[in-house]
Amino acid sequence: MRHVFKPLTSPVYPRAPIIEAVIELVIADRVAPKDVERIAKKMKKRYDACEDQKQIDLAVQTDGMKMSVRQDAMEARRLSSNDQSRVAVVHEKALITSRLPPYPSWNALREDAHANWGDWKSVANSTVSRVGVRFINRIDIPTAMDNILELESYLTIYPQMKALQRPVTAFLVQASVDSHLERWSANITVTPFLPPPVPGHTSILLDIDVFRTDEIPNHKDKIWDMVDEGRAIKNDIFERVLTPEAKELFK
Amino acid sequence: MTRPSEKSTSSFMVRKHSSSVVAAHPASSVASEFLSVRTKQIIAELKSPTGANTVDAPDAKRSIEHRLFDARSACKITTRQMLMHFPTDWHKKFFAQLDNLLDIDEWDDRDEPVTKDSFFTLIRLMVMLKDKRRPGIGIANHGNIVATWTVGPKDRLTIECLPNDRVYWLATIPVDDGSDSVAGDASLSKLLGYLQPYSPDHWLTNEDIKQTPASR
Repeated sequence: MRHVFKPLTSPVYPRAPIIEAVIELVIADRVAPKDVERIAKKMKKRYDACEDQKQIDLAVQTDGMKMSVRQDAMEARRLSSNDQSRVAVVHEKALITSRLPPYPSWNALREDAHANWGDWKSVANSTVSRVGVRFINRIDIPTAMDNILELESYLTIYPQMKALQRPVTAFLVQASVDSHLERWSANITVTPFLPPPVPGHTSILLDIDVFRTDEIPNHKDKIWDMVDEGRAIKNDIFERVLTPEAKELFK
Repeated sequence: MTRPSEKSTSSFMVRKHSSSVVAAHPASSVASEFLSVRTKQIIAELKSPTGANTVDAPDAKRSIEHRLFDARSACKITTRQMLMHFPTDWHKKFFAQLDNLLDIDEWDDRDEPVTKDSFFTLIRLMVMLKDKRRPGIGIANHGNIVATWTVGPKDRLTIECLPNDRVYWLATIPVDDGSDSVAGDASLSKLLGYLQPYSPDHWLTNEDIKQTPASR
């Protein structure tokens, strides 16, 4: 009997655990530093502040005998609203659009990203090589001190430690999966915030990064249909990773 | 304390924090000592693609205008990431207070902008007191943020937020025609216990009294 995958949808949670919601478009060919400046200047009409930044990627390579350091520095601009609810980063290889809590709606984030990409395209006719939808969540679980928290009460992804019969004090679980939709993948990360930022709570970070690098249309409307697909996949993963008991915390 | 059952496969222990609880920067926690360098790097990379939680602390080499902008941004981002624990729109008045406090036009160059670590202690205090009256805020030495609840000129509670969940507190209480003061230095987790003899709710829940304006 053929198994038919039915993706789950997310209801609106009044106290959603989102600490950052991101749409990222990575481009195939770097734009010039002066184009970063021009794109940011156009975007500034929708943001209150624009800061110069440098994005530096460092890679240290060694073959056991010699060591070399490769540095890739890129021009970047960080734009933000005065209240820090809306943030965007423009650099030579990507456009990142973000919303901070309280998360208003998917449409609000999407409209920001859509408008930002419109400004980008008016300066540089770039081709997108990676579409990403990433939601970073922090699950704050009320916990008494010196109490044992049963991870599987809240998560369906957690380290299996039964054989040790000892509590876990720190962990990192990172998984890469292919989505139920062709050509989409996801990186899912679960790790505790140590120490927890909220008094009297244990905090678990749940980072869901859904992305596609294959067959990305250059058509300005089809890109956004694709971004909507990414969101649907993210929602499905979110609903599957968290238990009903965890979701009660968001109501 | 519950024992791990045969059914449970993964239990996570919440360690009792000492009175010197560190602020929530994972690399500084005791438990994170167990993580490898590579794992810590992965966690650090997860933090924010827009640098939302890595806004730099005010840099003395930047102009005061930039430093105040950095401080306002850092405070607002930190607040936003705790908003799921506050009533809807709670942050709007709070942000207006921050804007007033860190306003370039009102700034005294002898002051230091609010530090990230001090502010983090404040926001944790505000989470603990989220159902209570909103305080006035100010800045003390070294960029420590101060919260004040005032009932009258001789009747107030002042809490200076230090890094790492430490606070200095000062209670001024009317006595006869004057006032007495009681002060302490405590961890955030112990603060409300120390304040109990002075009936803190009369500062924290008196809705008839207007909030003290921000001051430096």
